[in-house]
Amino acid sequence: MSDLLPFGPGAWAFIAFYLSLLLLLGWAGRAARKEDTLQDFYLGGRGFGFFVLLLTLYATQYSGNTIFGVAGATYRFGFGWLIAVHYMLAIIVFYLAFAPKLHELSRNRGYVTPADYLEDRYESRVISLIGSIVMIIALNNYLLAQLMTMGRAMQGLAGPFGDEAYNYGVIGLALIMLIYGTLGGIRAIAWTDVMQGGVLLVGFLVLLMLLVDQFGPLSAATARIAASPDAFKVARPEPAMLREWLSYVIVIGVGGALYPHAIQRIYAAKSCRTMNLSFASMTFLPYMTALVAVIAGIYALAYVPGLEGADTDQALGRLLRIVQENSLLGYSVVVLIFSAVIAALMSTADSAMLAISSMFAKDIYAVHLNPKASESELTMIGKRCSWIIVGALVVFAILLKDQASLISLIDRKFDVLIQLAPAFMLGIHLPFLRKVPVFVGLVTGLVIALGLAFGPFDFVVAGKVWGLHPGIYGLGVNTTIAVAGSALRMGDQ
Amino acid sequence: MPGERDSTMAAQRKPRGWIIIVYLVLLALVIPWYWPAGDTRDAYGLPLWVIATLAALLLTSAFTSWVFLSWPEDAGDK
Repeated sequence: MSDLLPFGPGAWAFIAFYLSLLLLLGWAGRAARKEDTLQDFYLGGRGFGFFVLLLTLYATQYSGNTIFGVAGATYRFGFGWLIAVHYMLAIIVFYLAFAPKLHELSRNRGYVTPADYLEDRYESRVISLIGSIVMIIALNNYLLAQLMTMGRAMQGLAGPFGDEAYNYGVIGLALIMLIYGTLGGIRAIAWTDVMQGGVLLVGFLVLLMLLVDQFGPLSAATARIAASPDAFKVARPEPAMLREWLSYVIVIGVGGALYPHAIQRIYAAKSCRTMNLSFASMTFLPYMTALVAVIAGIYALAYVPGLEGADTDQALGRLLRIVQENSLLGYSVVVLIFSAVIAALMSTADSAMLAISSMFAKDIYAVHLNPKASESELTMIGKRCSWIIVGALVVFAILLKDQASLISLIDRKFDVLIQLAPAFMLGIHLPFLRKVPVFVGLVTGLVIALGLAFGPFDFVVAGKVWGLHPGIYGLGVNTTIAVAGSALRMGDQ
Repeated sequence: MPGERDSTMAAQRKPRGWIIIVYLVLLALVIPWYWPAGDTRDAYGLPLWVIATLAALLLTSAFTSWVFLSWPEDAGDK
């Protein structure tokens, strides 16, 4: 967003009004509280209906990266980045593997965090503790990335005061998120998600109309690319990229379905029917979001050529600047799209924040530090945990401001998260799965995934081995150990 | 006994293995490995291989939607 013209007072007033509404919803969420329990604070009393559940799942799943990251990747790889539409859909497909049964179990057995299922299923505090730690680490990484992008979004609009704007942007938006998140818990967050999801959907729709209005039909953009040195970006991707395609679909599909905040939304659904209806609708949302971002990337490739390396992530920003300079309507629309980006960032970050705090309070504090703590005490601990963790990540976000490469290096969350797939997705269907093989498989999978990602191996190219993410190799070994080990133990018995 | 406990935890419903086969077929259709390399023909601004991929993706969406909607209700929903 660093290419946009600085916003005027009217635009800032609109954004301030939008942020005030978030605080108001935080207060409304607190007023709607029924009891001071973990179930009420983190799952909204398990009462989410279709509309709220759909929009909270949607707003949480699509982060700011969906808009700018996907458009930038399309600029680099061309139509081949339809991968993004496929992996966003794959997340919903992988929910199918475990969500309906997990929802039923969560209601019957009172789960609050994802690790509650692991402990109940395997009767093992070690597996549930490792599961929580893996999820907390993955989410902290995710939350830090969202905070840094919030700062960059503000930085890009502040002209010569960019550096200060980055710091104030990170601190200000994190503070607003903390206030409404700790006031109203999941209710406030889901209600803000409804608004943020709405802004996001409208923002994408308007973006598409804007691009066609400003630059003409998609066919003209494709023809320009086909007649340029980038013509290969119109053709079918090379075999190496097709392997990466498969790898992204597995890693993001499985990892995205196992996000702890997504699992908590499975628990929070009013009924299995409501949840299934929400997921059934979610299967069509990639065409209204990820596909629009791909099309925006194609327009950028056609009309803003010449970007290379990290600058390609600014492709959409450059397009929007052209629109912004063109008319007052264009300027207003860019303000709306900017609000949609902020909405996408905040709705993802607040859900991650709440999931981390719930796992710390319920899985670590209540089990290992203070087993006698009451429900209201645990809720309070969770709220304090939110402030401490977000506070620490704000400091990191400011200190690491110029370290974009470092962040991409540590961004291996999906490689790590997918190692939990056998424990969740297979454990729910295969009664013979045993805790020891599942534990050994999980640890082995983590070692392989992280070892390949960070080890000094020449055969790891651009973070992948033969085009596949390291996590996939870890998952293969992990699954084999869990299934074969359990089958052997069953044979022994 | 762990075995008895696990059977209450694990899925009780009739397994629908054919669903996995349908997904594998759809996956093979979405990833355009079968399309000729270097083909840049297009229709309405979209390369033909993109149209084939989008059609397979839409089929995947429709199928997934159908599977979710046809899921049997659990005890709590009745």
